Amino acid sequence: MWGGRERRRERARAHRRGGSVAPAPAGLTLDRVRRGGRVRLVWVGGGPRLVHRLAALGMVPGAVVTVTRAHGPAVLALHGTRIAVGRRAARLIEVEEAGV
Amino acid sequence: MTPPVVAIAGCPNAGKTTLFNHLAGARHSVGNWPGQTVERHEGTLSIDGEEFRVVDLPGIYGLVAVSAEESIATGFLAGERPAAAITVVDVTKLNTGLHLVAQVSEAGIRQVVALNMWDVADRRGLTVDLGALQEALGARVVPTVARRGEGMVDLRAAVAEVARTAGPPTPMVIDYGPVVERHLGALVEAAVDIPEVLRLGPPRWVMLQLLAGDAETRRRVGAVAGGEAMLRAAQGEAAAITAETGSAVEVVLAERRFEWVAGLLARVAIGAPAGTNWSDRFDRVLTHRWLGLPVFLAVMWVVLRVTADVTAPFVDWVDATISGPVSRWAASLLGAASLDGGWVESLVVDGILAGVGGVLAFVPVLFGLYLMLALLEDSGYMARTAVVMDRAMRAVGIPGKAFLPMMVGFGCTVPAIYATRTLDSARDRLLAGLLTPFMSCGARLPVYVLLAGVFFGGRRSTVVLAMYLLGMLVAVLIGLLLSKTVLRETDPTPLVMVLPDFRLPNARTVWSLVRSRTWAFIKGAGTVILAASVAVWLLLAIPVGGGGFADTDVERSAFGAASRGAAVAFGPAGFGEWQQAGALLSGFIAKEVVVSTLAQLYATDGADQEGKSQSLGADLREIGSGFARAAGETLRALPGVVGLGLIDLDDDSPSSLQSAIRTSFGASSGGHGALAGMAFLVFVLLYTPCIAAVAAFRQEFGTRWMWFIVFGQLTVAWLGALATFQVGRLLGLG
Repeated sequence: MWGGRERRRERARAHRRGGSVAPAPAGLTLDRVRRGGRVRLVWVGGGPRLVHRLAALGMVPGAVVTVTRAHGPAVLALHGTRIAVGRRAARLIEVEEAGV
Repeated sequence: MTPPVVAIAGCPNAGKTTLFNHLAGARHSVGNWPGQTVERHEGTLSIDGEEFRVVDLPGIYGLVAVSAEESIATGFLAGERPAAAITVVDVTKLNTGLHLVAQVSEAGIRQVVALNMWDVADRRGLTVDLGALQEALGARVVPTVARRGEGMVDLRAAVAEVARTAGPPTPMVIDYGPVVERHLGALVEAAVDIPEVLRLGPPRWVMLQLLAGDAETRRRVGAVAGGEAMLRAAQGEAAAITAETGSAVEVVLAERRFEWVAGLLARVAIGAPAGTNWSDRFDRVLTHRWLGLPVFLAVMWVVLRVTADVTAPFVDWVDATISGPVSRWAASLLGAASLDGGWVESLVVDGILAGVGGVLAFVPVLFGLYLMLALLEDSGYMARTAVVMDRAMRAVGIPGKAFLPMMVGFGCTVPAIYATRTLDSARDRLLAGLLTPFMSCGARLPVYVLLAGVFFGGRRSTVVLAMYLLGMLVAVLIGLLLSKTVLRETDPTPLVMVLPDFRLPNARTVWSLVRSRTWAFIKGAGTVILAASVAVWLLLAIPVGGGGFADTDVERSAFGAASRGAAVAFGPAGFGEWQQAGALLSGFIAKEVVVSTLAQLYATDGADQEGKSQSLGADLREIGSGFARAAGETLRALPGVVGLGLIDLDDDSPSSLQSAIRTSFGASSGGHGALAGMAFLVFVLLYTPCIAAVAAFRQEFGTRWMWFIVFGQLTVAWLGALATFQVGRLLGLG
């Protein structure tokens, strides 16, 4: 159903082959999305604290967000909530274009 | 029998505290920024004669805790297992709200779901099928508008009914997908054999918490026999899930739960998902890449103008009332009890009235400051400052989120220290905690206003602004120093925070914030400051170099002796007179005391100012017309707030305290009075805020760091004052 799922499975396969969970996303990351862009989350990385914060807010693979501020800390709209995400965190979030 | 417990849970900013205030009839401060309730509040709720203990918990998004603040809430829910939880859900943010509801249900806690801000849903054309939602959640759902107290009757009835229900609740079961279910199933099977683990909650939920790595659950399970093996097993299963799915367990669980919520909402909620609203349009300017910072500085400027200038007429009014009619009344009361002329009159007039009165005169200033801060908080702007300042804060080595406690520090350092609990890592908390005392708190403001009024007259607010900016600058420098040395950032916490919607500040919320904080200041004047005033008076009355009790030369009193000792250190900074040193010594208790001690010390030198006695009616008329005059002047000053130095408050003849200060600083600095006054203010800005802040600091960060901050601030303050005076003199200023 979601492209992200497959990509994650690939990642999991790579992990089983002996690597660790990839530390940095390879594809488009959230910090490079322009204002007004609508993207679907594919993968979230980073340490346990970041993952915890993101997961609790629904920033999980499959979630579709709109970027309302793109410079410095990004601001995203997700289900009527505005979430500020620092640049470093944004670099750890892999996304894909969601279309309209 | 202890009354059953009802916990109020919910996401930050969902309206928990407002709801709590309606239910328990108490008043607690509410703010439109995340992390307002950092300690839990308790109250009593009685429904049809039945008593409940209501506990308002800090906001949470889930039951897995990472920050200290979150674990207050999750620890309470998991540990105390309340008879019922009221889970407050902001109806405009149903996804995160219902995600929490699902977890509370999984934990086997009976709940009533309050669908709050129901009126906003109506306005946005959102409708929720309450019946279907109740059925899906297996919980009572009550629409509420906490700000207006709507829906409280239904909510109370539902709470009483749910709390009375007997038998174990049926936890919700969410399908977490084949991978998780396989590993989870193995764990649950093993857990069923350990009765102590079963007592911690529904076994499926306890194991989910272990898989997600919740520290509190790990601690509880680890404490029972066989728990260690359980923890190891859980760790193994969690690693296996991560290996198979490629994501952290918490992400996998959240993903499925949010999918479940989305499925549920598709069935029960009809309406426009919020597109861009007016809040976003505000954001476009207020958090704009380039405009954000100038807008922030402009906002701070207006705040300080209102605080320092607009309230000035009221300060004069309170001052005149206390030193005039109130002092006369006290004197005539004492006269009626034939206690006048002796040490009792000295204690009341020179000790208590001069000390406490000197501080009470600044209540209007604090009222102005708290009003402005409350408006910023409740409108939602306060949270935006974290975004605007993130870059700058990062440069200093702390996350932008730490800016919120710092902003709170402009009001009072004590809550600011507690507000650092919203930060994620111990290192961030400590660093933010070490920097908050440099944010100029409200209690320091009276000292600035007094001295700046003496030496800089009309340019008072510029001096006050300079103090605030200097405090921030010093905080930046110290932050840089610490983050490069003892508190190096090893694993920086990335910024992720929710921005509350902008809203028109609610009069009731703002008023309750302003009232509780102003009242705390007045209470301080009645307790700490009163005690400090009496103590200073006593020390002044005790002779060490001849003379009798309360009949000694001030310079030869115990206080004079101690102050002279301290004064030696301040000589090079231009304020080495013993009165100035004495005021700073007493300022350890609280910063307002600096003003009251100055008032006491110079009042004892000054002539009696009681003046002619008047009838009570004349006194009251004088107070009334003074108030009207002050109100008029304030109204005239308001339009000038945004301008730079446009207000021309007629500087009436300086009070005797003001001229005493001018003379004293002139003498102590060899003619550089203004410069010495500035150095004195720098010292007041930078040294230990008050005893209460030190106590809060010790509670949060331990004794070692407490001494570090106390001595660190003294050193910084002394160096700062010295540099101000000496460099200023070299440059030929003042």
